Amino acid sequence: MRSTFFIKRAYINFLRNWYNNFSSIINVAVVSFFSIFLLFILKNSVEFIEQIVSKNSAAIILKTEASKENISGVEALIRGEKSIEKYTYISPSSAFEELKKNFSINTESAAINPDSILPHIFEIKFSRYIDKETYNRFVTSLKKMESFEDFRINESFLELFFRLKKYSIYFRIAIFLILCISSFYILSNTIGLNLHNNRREEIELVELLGGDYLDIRLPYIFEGMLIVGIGFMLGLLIAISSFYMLLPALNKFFNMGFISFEPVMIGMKDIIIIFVILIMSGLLGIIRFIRRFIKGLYDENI
Amino acid sequence: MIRAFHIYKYYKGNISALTDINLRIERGDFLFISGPSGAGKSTLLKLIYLREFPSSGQLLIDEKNTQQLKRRDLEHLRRHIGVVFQDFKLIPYLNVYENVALPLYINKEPNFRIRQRVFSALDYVGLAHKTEKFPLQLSGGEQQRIGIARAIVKNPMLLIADEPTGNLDYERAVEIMDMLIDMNTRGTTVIIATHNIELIRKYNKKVIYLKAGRIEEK
Repeated sequence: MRSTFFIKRAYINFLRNWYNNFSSIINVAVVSFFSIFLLFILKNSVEFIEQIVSKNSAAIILKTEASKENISGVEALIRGEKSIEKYTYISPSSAFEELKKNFSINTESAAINPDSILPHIFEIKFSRYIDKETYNRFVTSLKKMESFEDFRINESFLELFFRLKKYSIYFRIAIFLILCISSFYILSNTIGLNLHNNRREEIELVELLGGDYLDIRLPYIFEGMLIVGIGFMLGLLIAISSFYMLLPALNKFFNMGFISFEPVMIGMKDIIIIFVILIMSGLLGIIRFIRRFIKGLYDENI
Repeated sequence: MIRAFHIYKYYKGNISALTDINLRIERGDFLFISGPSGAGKSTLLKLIYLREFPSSGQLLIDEKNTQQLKRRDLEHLRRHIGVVFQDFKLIPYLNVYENVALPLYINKEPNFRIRQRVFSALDYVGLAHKTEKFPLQLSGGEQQRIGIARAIVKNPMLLIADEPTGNLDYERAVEIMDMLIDMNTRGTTVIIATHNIELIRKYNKKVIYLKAGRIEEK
């Protein structure tokens, strides 16, 4: 009954202060939308690079004199590495067959022995989840192999990928931080405006009647929750509908031949984090404002 | 019940509102605080209903020093004091029933008791038939009666009224005063601030006269 009464107070006040609250809802919606949008860009940038990395092959070149045992050793190392998605062994003879196909070389007349001129090669494809430490560990173990000759990969591209992966965490934190600060101020200012407009007496009265911490704050907290809830749902709705509206155009843009990439929406985890951040920072904003407001009621006293 | 020892009250800018107030009010007393506007009547009442605190001196309510009360004790003590305001201070978006029930919600009373007490208080002020109305749908006199119902609904040990008849005509003022006198005969300590000399004379009760923040002997 008591909480129903407080919820009712919050609900009625929410409707009474609709003009203020509506602009706050729009602010929360815009903040939510941009957070989702920024996280969407970040997630898809990482996914895009990950996909390119996993599509690009690296080549492990062994010495021409590598024995069968040496080759099996390298193969075992590759098999044991979880971050390698796929590998293919290219023997000198199969490589030579390919060469013959392309260049019509007559090996008999040229008296060429493929094993003595072509190396043993492993073509590997890293999985998209590879990190720098795993990569370095793998390359170091590879270089220690007796038959190792060379390792070819687009290093600068890989470096960019690792850097992006590393900074994506910071970008994510920055986005969440901006979200925290903006929702904190939006909500504390909204509630502040409402308080200054017509709620001063109400807070004073509840205090004089012996209201405790929650009696005074609960209606405003409920009101803040309504603003955050509606604003967030609105922002999410706009984000999801714009994503599906733009998806065909995005797909067309990304499927340019050399790579096919399908943009994905941010996950449920990120959506929940945004919502929780909005709720928590909004709550802090409300509590801070009411505390300042109550303190202000007694400011004229000495 | 209330003891004040050398109470001084200053506001920002070193404005003195009360000077060396000494008081003793016993349980069951009925007291008028009178004096011209700006004499400090409302300030003294604000100290008693714990809206403000003395700048110096000691104020004891129910043997508790108000300056040394912890937040929880302060809330608890406030729940035993009923206050009637000149401007009624009713919450406009709550109906009559909810306005009167507010102190009981705050006291965390069970639902059945809230209902019982609210109807009993509204019956006492003669407005039990207007539970669904909103304050702005009522006359000034009715609003003040709702204010009284809200103050008495929790059976307070102390009832304070700050110019309760200030916005009412004489007939309505007498009605309100009769209710307050009746509350006093039922054992509640009542303190009323008013500058209405006519009412003070009519009821012939104990009076404290304030002038420029000091108690004057009369």
